[in-house]
Amino acid sequence: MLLDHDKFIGLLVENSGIEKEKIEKNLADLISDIKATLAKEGTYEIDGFGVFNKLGNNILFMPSEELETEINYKYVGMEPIELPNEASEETAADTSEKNPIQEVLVEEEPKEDSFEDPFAEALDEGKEEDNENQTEAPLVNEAEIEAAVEEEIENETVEDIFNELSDEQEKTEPVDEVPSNESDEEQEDAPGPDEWGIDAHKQEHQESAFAGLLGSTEAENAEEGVIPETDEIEESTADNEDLDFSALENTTDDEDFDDPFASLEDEAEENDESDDEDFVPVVTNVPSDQTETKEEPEEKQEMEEEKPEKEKKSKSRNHRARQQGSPVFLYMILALVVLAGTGYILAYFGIVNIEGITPSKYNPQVAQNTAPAQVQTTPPAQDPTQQTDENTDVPDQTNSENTEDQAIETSNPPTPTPRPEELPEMLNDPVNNSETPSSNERPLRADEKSPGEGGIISPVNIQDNSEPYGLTGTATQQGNNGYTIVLYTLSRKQGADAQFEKLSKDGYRVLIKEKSSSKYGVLYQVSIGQFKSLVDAAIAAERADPEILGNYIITKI
Amino acid sequence: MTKDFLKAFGLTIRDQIIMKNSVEIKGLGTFKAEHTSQEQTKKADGTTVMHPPKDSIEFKADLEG
Repeated sequence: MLLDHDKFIGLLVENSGIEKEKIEKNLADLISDIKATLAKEGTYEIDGFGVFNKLGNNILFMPSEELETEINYKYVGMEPIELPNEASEETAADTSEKNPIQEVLVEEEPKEDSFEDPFAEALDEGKEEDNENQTEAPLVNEAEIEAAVEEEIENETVEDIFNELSDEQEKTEPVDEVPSNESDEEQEDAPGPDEWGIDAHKQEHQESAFAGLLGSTEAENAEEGVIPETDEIEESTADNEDLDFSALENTTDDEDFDDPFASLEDEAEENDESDDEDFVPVVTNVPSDQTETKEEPEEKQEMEEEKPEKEKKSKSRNHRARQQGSPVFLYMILALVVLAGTGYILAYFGIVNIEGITPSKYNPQVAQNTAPAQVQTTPPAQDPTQQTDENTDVPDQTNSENTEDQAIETSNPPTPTPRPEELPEMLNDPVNNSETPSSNERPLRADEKSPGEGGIISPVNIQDNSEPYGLTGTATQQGNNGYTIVLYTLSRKQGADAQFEKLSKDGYRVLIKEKSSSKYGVLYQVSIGQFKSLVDAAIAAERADPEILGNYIITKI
Repeated sequence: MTKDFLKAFGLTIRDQIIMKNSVEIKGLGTFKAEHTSQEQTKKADGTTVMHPPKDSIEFKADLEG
């Protein structure tokens, strides 16, 4: 729209509020002033508006920065931008006219790259190279384009081939099923950006998401004959499946194929054969080993793969040797167990004397020191009437009472064995000399009245000329400060007297000592011999008749 | 010629130029709005620069006046 002079004056009147005459006058003054100044100085400046410059007969106007900024207010903030190469290529491709020769050149170069390196598109470097190739393509100078035109005219092959292939594609495959990277066709068929939805955009990316990794799309591959069509692929896969099965069947019979389980099967067969040959009725670890080999074939496989075959053979031989040797080992163990059991049984029943196993009743040494209980309880037969009373009424209190009252003294004293040098001296000793009782002496009778000093009941017919110490003879008052061999502890005085008479009749020096017990009342202890020391008593006990002694104790009188 | 007149003179021409109108002043010339759309230029180093659009005032003097 053009504002003429009158309208401009009307706008000045409206904007300034000044009268129209004054506006017209000021405007005329301004124009004359500008012209005069330009004629004189060549430059006239209006503050906030611009500068008029005279250039020959023409006048140039240069707006001030303020005016220029106000005019371009809607473009404020838009600065010149250095664009990346891709954007410049797209814009250049859009703006430039489509040249079929350039398209051919652009299409050929990436294909050559894809032939050289099928994974180039998966890498960033490959993309950069492609971009560089695409940017260089439109910048080909005219001489190169002409040379390409000449080559195209001479050969007339490239486009014909592509056209033929594209025609074949259209015949064989619908366009929608097979996406192609042919940019021209796709851009024509694909909807515009306004029509694209989010899903459509995603699908388009998803379709070509793995195209770079595959190197080229199916369409390109179909054109190039690299990848057959889908029907052909299905047929070929079916054929491949048949081939795979046949190959597997063949590999089982093939000797060149290293079957990891072949060695195990051979070993199993060998083991079966060896088992058949060497039949062992004893249960061994052989089955467990075989099951382990079956359950863990992978571990053995790894072990066998690591070791050479020689080690395998040696290992299998050792395994067989172990299998063959294990029954012998078990036989040996069983034989040892049987022998040990037999020995234990023999020792237990006393057939063989083994210390710690053979019971004491079968031990002859122990048997010598321990008399049967009958000997303790049943005094020698003297008077049948008295014996029955004693056996029924008097319990065997020998061990119990002695342990209560005379624990220290009645503890089993050591029985020192006399040395060979001492034996003759002991034989010459008056104690030893008086061992053999004289059967001609008349039997002694215990005092029936009351015990004497210390509860000792002295015999009635005591001999004055007897020795003070000794196993035989008659007890003396002097010998009461020594030791004696206790044979019985009886609860009835009559039993003690009977033992006294019997032992006295055999010639032994017999003592009856009356003892009081809180549990059993008065007990009568029957002992033989009077000895000066404990050693003399022990020696005498060893030499005495064991049938008479029985379980004895040596104690102080 | 007062300052108010000069101020009104500049504002009126500016407003008309912004509205893409041309202003004709007899004896002086015609102020015309000129629009320059965005454009790309390629530098010598190969880089491409995108220039924003721009409006400018183009003055054509009245030589007869």
